[in-house]
Amino acid sequence: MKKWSWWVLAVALLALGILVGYTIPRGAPGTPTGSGAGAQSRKWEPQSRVVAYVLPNDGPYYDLKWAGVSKELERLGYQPQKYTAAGYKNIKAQTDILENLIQKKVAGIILHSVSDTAVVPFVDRAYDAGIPVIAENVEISSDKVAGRVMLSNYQNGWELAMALTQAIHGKGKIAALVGPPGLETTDEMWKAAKEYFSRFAGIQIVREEYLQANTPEALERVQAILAAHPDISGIYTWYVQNGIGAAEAVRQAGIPAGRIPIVAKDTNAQGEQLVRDGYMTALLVGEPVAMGRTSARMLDAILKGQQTERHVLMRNYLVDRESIQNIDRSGFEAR
Amino acid sequence: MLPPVKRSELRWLLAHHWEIAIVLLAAGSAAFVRGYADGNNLRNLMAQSAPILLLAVGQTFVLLVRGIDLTQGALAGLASAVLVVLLNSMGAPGAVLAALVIAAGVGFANGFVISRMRVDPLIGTLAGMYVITGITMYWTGGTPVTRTSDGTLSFLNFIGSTSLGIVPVSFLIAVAFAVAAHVFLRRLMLGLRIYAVGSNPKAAASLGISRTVIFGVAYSASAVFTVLASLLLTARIRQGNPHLGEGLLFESIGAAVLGGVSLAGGSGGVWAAARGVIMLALIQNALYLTDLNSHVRDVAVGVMILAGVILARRSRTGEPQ
Repeated sequence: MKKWSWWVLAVALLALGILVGYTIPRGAPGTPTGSGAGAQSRKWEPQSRVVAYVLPNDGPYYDLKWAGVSKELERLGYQPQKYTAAGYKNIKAQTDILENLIQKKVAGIILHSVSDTAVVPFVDRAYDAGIPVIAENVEISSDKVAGRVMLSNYQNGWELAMALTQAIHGKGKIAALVGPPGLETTDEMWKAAKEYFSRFAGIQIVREEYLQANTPEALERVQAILAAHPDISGIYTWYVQNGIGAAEAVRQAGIPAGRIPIVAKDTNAQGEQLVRDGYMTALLVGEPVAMGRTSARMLDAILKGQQTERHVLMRNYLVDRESIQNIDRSGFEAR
Repeated sequence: MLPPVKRSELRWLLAHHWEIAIVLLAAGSAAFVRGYADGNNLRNLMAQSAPILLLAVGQTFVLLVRGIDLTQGALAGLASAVLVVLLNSMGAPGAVLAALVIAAGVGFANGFVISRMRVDPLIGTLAGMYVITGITMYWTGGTPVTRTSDGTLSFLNFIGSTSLGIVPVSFLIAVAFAVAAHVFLRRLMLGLRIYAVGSNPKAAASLGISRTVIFGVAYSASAVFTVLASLLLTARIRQGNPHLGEGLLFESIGAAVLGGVSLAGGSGGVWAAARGVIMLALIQNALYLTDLNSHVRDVAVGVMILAGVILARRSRTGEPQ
């Protein structure tokens, strides 16, 4: 077979595809369509028991949420499946996943989106295909979202700023490990934190570093910050893994525990130990397992047409060296 | 008793092992994976692979001259935001043309620096990647450009959501540019010179072929194809997103090399890149439609890619270049 014949074959297949395509009806048969206003009251007819949990990435926080989702879905008789986009902003990967899940006709999707806007066309398509989407953690700007389980990012940022301000007595230079650039969740947290800091004339933000959940990189950035600003008074971090990097940088620089207060969101064993050691000042602890569980229950109720709260705000609380022993671990039971 | 396989038939089989593998994979998936052969899924498959096809073809140009282009992902992000801003202000033809001209200029500068200053392509484009990412984030703050005029939206809808039958317009665009690239590389003097520089730089220089010009052309082509890929992705999500390029670079290089474009230069071509893209898309799509555990899925993709590369190497002797 000559080389050009492959091209002829390809063109022929393409033409065949176009021809065949005109004979295929648009949209899955029997799936209702309608405006987004009906997302709250719509009746759903799941075509399988598979529920997809779509995450931006892997990691401790996501693992905890998955533990909550998967255990609860299994208990409710569903078949949970996890999909990750392998990046906080990997839009193509996540939109491809959503497209494939619609094709797969899953019963429902619980979506921690990589973007509040980029996934909208795909969420709308899921709605049109009869698949309810629960937005978790990150708001999605579509009225076709069936339900929402959220954190108050603004309040989280505000509370972290409060804890740091209190620890540095309202004055001094601070640095921030803000979060991945353009990530709505962390941007909103940092916006709130900056608003809080701006109330204190003695607080000066000398560095804003944008980085993903990356402990070694956080360590290196804070080492550089310490070299440039030896008189730094406090460090804000968006996530415990980065807080650990910051605390390790302080420890490795030989700076006494507590001299540079560090605050972070979420918790893990290492973070808690650093709080006990005094290298981290406060952790804003959430309930990722309970969050996942809540999403699973909400989706189940929606699929069954039962009355349920469609917008749930999960709670977070601050813990420090004194209160860390008293963390309510009931939300972590499923792990 | 079956008749013995003739030598010529065996050679043909070896030479076309890729095409045979693609047909077998597609047929196997259609037979065993629910929903795979569905028209909607084929449409998804084509729409998802169209931007990667363009990126892989662009990457092929630079791989052919023994280069590599690490700026593709970063440029795709910048181009996405720029395209939507330009589309809002000057309409589709002007915006696309302007973006392509700018891309060609950036690409040529890339190639010029690498060739004339004797900078290693890996390092040169790594530096370019940082510069472009920095500019993008400084300009946009990482925030997507979601404000679109009616004209912009209808243009993006046409490219991103319209199909002719089951063939998405985005796929037709990608195929058209891929065919143009194939003709350019195999039929035009400039394209043949790209192969000459990649195969034997010293011999090419002795024939008076300018390495600087050829590198400039190769990197321009890569940048232009990146902007086209960015346009297709932007149309899919109907917004300019500075993060659009995340994860694309490895898919682009991976697909081209998987299909048989040599990292050592001078070998492979558009069809090689295309079959790598097809192979990756078929594998990923089929696995996503199954109920495999997500981590097992990743392992399966990795193993299949590795198997493909090893098979390709073993039978390279019979493969047409």
